Amino acid sequence: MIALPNECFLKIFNNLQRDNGDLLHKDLFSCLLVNRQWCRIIVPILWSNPLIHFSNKKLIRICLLTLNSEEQTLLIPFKITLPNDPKPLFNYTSYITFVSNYLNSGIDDWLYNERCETDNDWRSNQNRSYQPSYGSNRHLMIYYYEGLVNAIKCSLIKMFLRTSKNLDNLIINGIIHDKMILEDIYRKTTITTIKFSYSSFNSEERKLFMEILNRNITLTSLSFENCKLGSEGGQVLAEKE
Amino acid sequence: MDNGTSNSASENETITLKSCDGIEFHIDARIANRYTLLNNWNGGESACIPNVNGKVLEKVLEWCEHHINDPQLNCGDDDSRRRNTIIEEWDENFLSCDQDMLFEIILAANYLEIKPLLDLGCKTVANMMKSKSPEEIRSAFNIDNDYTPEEEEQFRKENEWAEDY
Repeated sequence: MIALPNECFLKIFNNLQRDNGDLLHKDLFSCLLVNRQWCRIIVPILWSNPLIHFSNKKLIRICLLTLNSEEQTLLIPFKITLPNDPKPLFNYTSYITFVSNYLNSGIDDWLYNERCETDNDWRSNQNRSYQPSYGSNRHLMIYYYEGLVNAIKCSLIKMFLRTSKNLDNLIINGIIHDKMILEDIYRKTTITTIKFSYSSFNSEERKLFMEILNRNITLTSLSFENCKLGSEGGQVLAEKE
Repeated sequence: MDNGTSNSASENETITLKSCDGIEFHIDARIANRYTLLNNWNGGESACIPNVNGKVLEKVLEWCEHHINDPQLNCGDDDSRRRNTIIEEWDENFLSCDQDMLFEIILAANYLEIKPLLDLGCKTVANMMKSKSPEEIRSAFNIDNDYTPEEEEQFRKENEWAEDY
């Protein structure tokens, strides 16, 4: 094969996409395994926007391997056993530019299929479809499980905010009761778009969030979907607009 | 970049380009005006284009001539999401050459900054890679596998999420 410069390969691999413009991750994966040169070019493309793949336990496992000790502390109350695979060969998450709303499904998928822990009772008892249940045990189980998903989500978002060099677009689905994350969002100057879905903020978080919002100059789009902001929050948002 | 003067040449004007192996081509001046770098070598006797041989330059100029009346794309229009993967029939036939020539054309288009031809070449190669396994790609493009087995296995494991949909 005639040697091409990396810039040409970059163009070639960026053309591995469907007619609608979505990247063909499967074909990129095959090319990544061809040789080392192609791997170095493809990893940043493949990881820039995993889109629906955030719902895949295999992707979540690699992301969990990237948590530092501070991010792992959020998981201590749940006595969770993290994957013990070797350290990843690349800083994969540094290339992520878009965190999609599939993250929750991926955590769900990982918890259901890969989580190892001493007490597995929650798994046999939990109801993955969240059907209403009137047993107090069931309520506790769902409460515990949602707390667990939330803790993993917060630790991952903190990690993305720390490691992703060009994180541009962040969708946060569900509640995040973590002030540090809100502060990290403020510090992350690459982010231009944030969307909160099904979130609520207590009064202290609301105040902090609004303060952050007023100081953030890079944000160009902020949207709330089914969120509880309260009249005070709405007012500050209106002023910001 | 000044695009305003790029089509000032008339239909009958020709310029002379010389490949690195000394073959001369007399081409419509409008072609050279579309692609700035070609114009730089409009030196007739003495100037020649380094790195591009006569065989490849002939193919590149054949493509340029066929597309002389195409609308010019905006500079910097590099949004990969807006590109489509469909290749016109003439272009498909044009690039149905042997693989070495296809790569030579890509190299020349990159060197001469003929962006639409470069895009076309890259799109063609990408289409040749689609739905193939790593081994099939290596064999199709005659590429050596320089991974150690352990390394390849770890890369496979770390990125296997990408093959699930």
